Amino acid sequence: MPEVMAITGVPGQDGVVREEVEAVRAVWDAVSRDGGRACGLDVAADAYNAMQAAWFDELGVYLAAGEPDGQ
Amino acid sequence: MASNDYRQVTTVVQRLGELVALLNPVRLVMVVAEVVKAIAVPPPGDPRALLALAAAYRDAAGALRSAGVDRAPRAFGDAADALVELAAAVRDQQNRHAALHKALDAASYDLMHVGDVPMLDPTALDDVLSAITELITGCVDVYTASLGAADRAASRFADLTGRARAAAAVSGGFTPAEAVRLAGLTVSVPGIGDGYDDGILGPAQLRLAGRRRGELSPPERAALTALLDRAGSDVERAWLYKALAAGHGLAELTGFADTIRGRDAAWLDAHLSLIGRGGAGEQDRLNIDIRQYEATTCGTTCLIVARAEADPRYALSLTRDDLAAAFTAERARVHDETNRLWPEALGTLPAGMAGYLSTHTATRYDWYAVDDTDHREISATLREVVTAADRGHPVPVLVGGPIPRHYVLVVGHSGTDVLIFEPTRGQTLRVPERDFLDGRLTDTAGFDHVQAVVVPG
Repeated sequence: MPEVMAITGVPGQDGVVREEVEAVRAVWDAVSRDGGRACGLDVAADAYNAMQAAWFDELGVYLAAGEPDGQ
Repeated sequence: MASNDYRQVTTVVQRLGELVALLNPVRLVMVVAEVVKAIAVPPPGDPRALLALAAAYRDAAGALRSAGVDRAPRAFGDAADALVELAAAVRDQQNRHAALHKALDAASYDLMHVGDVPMLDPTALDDVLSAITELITGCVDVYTASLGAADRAASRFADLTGRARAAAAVSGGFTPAEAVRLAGLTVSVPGIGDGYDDGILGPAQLRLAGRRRGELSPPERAALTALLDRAGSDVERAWLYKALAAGHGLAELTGFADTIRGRDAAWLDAHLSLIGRGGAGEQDRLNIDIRQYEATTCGTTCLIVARAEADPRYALSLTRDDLAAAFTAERARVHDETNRLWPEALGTLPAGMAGYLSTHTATRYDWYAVDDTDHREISATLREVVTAADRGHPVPVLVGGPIPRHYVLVVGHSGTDVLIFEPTRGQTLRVPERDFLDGRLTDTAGFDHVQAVVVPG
């Protein structure tokens, strides 16, 4: 089955230093992963946790996009 | 009370208000004891930890910018700002609570002692009564501020969650490289600007487009590949995916692709939706004001705009030739369709709004009535509305005074502001969430109170 390609490339990502992004994500995640508790009321804590998880995944996509099979 | 439970804090605020009403010399001792118990726990949160979190987000933003990553640094910077604001609010509430608690303890002691002797002091009753009334009112203010700060923070975090579009695209089945590119393609509208991160496809549409692509048969997939290969730009491809997410089949997509092929981004933005979402401003398309033209078509106008936001092929069917004539005819047609069993002169019922959007967009909508005098209820409703907007779904909102009178359409969310398309004026307005929560919408939506919302089910 031919793969359906959506895009012609990932402009702006060529200069991304993959190892650097990986290290940034690891440091940030270690500090921020359990940050919901600091937010106090549950509605803020739940929303914080959702945001943290979403951006952990988002950075993961950026990292995967830079891998040889990311296309 | 459980210190981090929003519902219970709301109940405490309500109870404190009731206790103030009960306050009189006879009941003073009982009320004071209950108030001391009710406010035993300070507003929750850890300001120091929040500042440490903010620093982590800020550091990450700088490092990601240096590493050349798109979009993420701005989101991380905004998260840091939200955390700093929450830390300041929590610290202020906790300080005020501590002072009030101390003062209330002192007042309670004065009431129950004459000098150092533990006995009720009847001569102090009047003074203590007025002091305690003031203290309870202060406690209500502190806990209400705590709820407000939590609402604001939750809303800003939801906005940032909605900006993580590449992850949504991958979860639908796009490759990481496709996802990063698609997530970065945004709408730009002259005169409206780029006030917020406004993807051509929202997270829900990215997920849906990926899923629909994965469900295609091999020949269909090959046909889609050919269409995408012939497209003139990635922006054009993004609009094709948006049409796929809206539920169109290959035959419809082919005609759509032929019409938009080779068009530049400005043409695509102008023809494939009816409003600019990049910020606040007048809404016109091709020199036609996009607004309500008849007395009872506010709901109809919101439906047409909402459907056009979800389906670029539908938008093109209106903008392709004579927009003025097509828009007029479409208002009459939609008004008829949504008011078959209801007098058209009375406007559109919320059930009709939900039914229309469920039938004509790829998303099922429900509606429910809202009591915006109930803080807990309106806060939960606001969170649901902005979360839907952050995912890329427009949300019709029925507003009114004593009775429901008018529809507006929530089309976006940025920080602690809601972007509302107001059909009478034909403008998108930036409305502070506080106005939505406090029933102060007259200046923007025409009427103060939210009466019902039509939200994705």
